[in-house]
Amino acid sequence: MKTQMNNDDRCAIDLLLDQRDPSMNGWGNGGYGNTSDMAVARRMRSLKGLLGILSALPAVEPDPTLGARTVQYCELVHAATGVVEINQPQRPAQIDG
Amino acid sequence: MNTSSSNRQRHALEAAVKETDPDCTGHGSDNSLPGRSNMTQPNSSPAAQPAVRTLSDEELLEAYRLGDRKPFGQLVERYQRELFHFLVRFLGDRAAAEDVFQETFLQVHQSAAQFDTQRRFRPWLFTIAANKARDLMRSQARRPTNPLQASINPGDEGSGQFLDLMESAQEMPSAPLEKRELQGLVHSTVMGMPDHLREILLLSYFHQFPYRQISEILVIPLGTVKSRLHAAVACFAEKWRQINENNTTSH
Repeated sequence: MKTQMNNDDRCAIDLLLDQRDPSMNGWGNGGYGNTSDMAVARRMRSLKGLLGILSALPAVEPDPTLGARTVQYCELVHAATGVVEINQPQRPAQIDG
Repeated sequence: MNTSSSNRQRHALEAAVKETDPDCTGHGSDNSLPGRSNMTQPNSSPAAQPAVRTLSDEELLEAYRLGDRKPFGQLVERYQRELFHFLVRFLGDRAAAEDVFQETFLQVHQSAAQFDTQRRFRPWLFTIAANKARDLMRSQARRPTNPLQASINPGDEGSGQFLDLMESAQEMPSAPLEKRELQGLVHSTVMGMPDHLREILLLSYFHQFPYRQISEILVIPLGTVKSRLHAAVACFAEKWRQINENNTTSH
């Protein structure tokens, strides 16, 4: 079955997922024209329940040595490839005495 | 990215790491490689670098750009969990996530001089990580995508309402699920989504990037961020409902 999304649905998603950015949308449903607060509020409730399911997605913890191995890997690539030092002061021209 | 050669190079280098530091303590051994820099290891004593810990990400990177090596390890430590969580959820594979994590910070190291100091470090880091992860998936040609976006266009005849889908999808399976079984079902649902929809949903839901920063991370217009997230939510709802139906009939 194909799913049809209307302005209320889209508005609810944006309000829920982008509410951290006040310049985007407020509760005034900016940018969505004919939306009703009641309809959007109902959809937001449903959406919270739906997205709450995502919380069950396991967070696999990194190996405790990953950070140390990463730094060492970068050091070794740096040493092996001779990548130019970041902001290394330029050497003055050699003056043969 | 030539992943296979890159992986070979990385594994060779990791083998060299184990030679110099077999316990991965991060402190190396007496036979440190010549020319080795002095980046502070992320697992060093918390009391060892109180000043570094109070700096913002951008200040750490700036200090690193100016030649102080210590802040690099602090940045790795600061993002170790969050970035790894994103990569594991996006790639669905621990080993691949470790590879991309390391390649991401190598890129940070190599591109630090080009970092625009007016930008925020976190979105930049996720831009690099997402690019590397996508490169890896492309190189592995994991599976064809099946974008749902086309099916949510308004005006499709014979279509159902998204609200109905949301409300039916959030109903939990009739059979009670063990926690691990539920985790497995959600994991299958998320991994069954097209890569570009899974990516944007993870960035928004778990990492709470606002739309403007997602636009920056994925290098797509703001309008595309919106439409892609709408499609991602619809895709998740549809796939969750399908998985639930299958799970219910199999019980």
